[in-house]
Amino acid sequence: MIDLLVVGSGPSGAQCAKAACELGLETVMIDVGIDDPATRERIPDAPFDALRRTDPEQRAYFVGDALADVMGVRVGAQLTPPRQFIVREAERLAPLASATFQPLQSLALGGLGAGWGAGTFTYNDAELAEIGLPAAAMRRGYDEVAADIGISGSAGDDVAAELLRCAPLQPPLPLDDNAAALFATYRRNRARVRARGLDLGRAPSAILTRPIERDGLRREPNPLHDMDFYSDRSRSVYRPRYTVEELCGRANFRYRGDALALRFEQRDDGTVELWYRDLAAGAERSIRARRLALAAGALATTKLVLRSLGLYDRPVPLLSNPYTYLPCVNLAMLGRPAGDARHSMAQLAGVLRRPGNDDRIALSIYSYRSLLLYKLVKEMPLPPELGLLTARLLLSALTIVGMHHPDRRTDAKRIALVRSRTDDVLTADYALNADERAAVAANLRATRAALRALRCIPLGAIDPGNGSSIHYAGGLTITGDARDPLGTSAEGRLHAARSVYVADSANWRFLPAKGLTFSLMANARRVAGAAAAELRAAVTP
Amino acid sequence: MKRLAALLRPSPAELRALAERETDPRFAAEFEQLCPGPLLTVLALAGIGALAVVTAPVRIAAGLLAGRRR
Repeated sequence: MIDLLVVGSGPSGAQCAKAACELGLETVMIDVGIDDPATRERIPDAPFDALRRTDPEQRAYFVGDALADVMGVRVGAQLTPPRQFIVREAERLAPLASATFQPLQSLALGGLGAGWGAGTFTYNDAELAEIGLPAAAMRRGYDEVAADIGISGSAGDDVAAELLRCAPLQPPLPLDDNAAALFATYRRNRARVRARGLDLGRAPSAILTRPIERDGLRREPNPLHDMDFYSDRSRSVYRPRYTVEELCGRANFRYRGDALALRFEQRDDGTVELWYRDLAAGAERSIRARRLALAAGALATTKLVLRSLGLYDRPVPLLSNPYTYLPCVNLAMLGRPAGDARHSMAQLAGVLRRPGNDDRIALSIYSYRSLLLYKLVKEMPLPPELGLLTARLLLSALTIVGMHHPDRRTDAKRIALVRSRTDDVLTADYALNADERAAVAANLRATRAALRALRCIPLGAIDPGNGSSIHYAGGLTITGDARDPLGTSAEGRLHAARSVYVADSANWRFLPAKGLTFSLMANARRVAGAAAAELRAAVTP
Repeated sequence: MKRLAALLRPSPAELRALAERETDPRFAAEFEQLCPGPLLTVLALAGIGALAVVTAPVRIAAGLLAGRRR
C-alpha cells in the first residue's frame, strides 16, 4: 500500500515528496508533468552577449520562431520561449473564467517553479501567525529546504533579519555593476535611506555559488552568463524537477506522469482513493493510498477539494499579492558601461517599513539586459529608432524594482467551482477595496521616496493586473473549527477528509508582501512530517 | 493621455521588425549599451525628447489614420 500520494511536482509537491521519502514513506507523485527538454537543449552553453553576437539560431529561444510574443502581455515576462511549456495545456485542463483575475496556472513538471525567479524570503513570526502556520516548525522547514536546494545570501546585511532567517547559506552571488553601484550609494547614504523606511541587502536566492552533488546529480555555481530566463544548463537556479529526478532514483518513490488529478474520496478504512485522468490513454483511473497530500497549487488544490466534497457554486476566499514594478534609472550608472558578467535574477532585496503599519514589503531589484531591448521600446511613446536609442543610453543604468503588496481576505476576492457543459470551471472575482488601494498607493509613495534617496529615479509604476504576482492562496482555511468542511488543522489535515493533507498555500489565510515559494517548500516538508508522524501513530497501539 | 501614448508607441509591425533585427547576430552592435558618460547621456536624452515632441503630431496622425488603439 502506498503511504503517501502527492499531487503535483511544483515547489510544494517536490519538497513534500522529498521529506516523505526521507522519512521512509512509500511515496507516489501524481502529475501531468508537461516538459520541453528539446527547446532547452537547443540553447548553447555560452554567455548572453556572446550568443547575441554569434548564434544565428538565437531567435528560436529569445523570441520564438514565430515572433508570436512580440506584442505579448506584460504578465509573465519570464515566460520566454524555452519556458512556455510551463503554461501549456493549463487553459484546457485547468479552465478558469474571470474578467477581473488572470492567474498563471501550470501543469508542468516542476509547476510554476520551473520559471521561478529564485527569491527565497522567510516570513517573520507575525506573518506566519496571521497565515496560521506555527513559527518554530516553519523555521525548521526553512533550514531543511536551505540545506536541500542551496541558498545563497548574506546573513550580515540589513535585510537578513527580515528576509533570510535560515541556515545553512552559501556565499552571496557577486553583484553586477549596476547593483554594485546602487549598493555603494546605499552604504554611503544608509542612515538617510533607512530613515525613509528602506533597508537594502543582497537578494537571498536559490542560486548556487558552490556546487551541490547528490545521487550522481550535480548542480554548478552560477556561471554569470545572464541566461537564467532561458537556460537551466548549469542547474544553478533551483528547479523542482531536480528534486523529482533525484527521487526517481530512490526505491520508495514512483513518479506517475500524464495524470491529471480529478477528485478524491475518503474511505471508511482510513485510506483515500484518488481518481485521475490518464492523459495518454484518455481513461479515468484511480489509485489508493493511506494518505494524500494535495500540492497542485492553491487554485488547483481548492478545485480538487471543492469537487471532491461536491461544493459547487460556493464562493470561497481568493488571495493573490497585488504586484507593481517600477522601472528606474540608477543615476550612479548613467552613461557608464556595465560589464557582461551577471546572473539574471534579483541582485538586491529591500524591505520597506511604513510608519504606523506592521506590514513588511519586500522589494526585488533587477538589472535589465537579457529580456531584450525591443520589450523596452514597446513601452515607450517614441518612434522605434528613438526608442531604441533611448533604451541603449539607459541600459546600463536601468533598474527594475518589483514589489508585492500584502493580501488579506475580503468579500470582493472569491473563487467558486461551477459545472459547465464540458468540464468543471473555476470562476474568480478579484477587486481591491478602497482601503487596500490606498495601502498600495502609500507603499508606492514610500518606495519612490526611498528610491530617490538612493539616487535611483523611478520612471513610472506599472501594474500588470490582478493575478500577475503568480502568488495564490485561499480557498481553504487553517482553522480549529472542525465543522468547517473547507478547514484544515495547522498541520494541513483536512477536517472533512481526515486522510487528506493540504501541502500548498490553498489553506493560507494571508499572503505577506514577499515571495512565497521558500515558505511553500518549508510548509510542504512540515506537512509531510505531520502525515508521517500521524501514520506512525496510527499503526502504533 | 493614455490613448495618446498608445498612438505614439511603436506599431506591431515596427516592433516585429525590431525584434527580428535584435535577434540577428549581424545587427548585434546596434543593440549594445551606449555609454558616452553622464553629461553626454543627459544631453542625448534631452535631444531625443525634443525630437519626439516634434515628430509626435505626425505619429499621432499616422496612428489615427491606421486606426490604431493600443
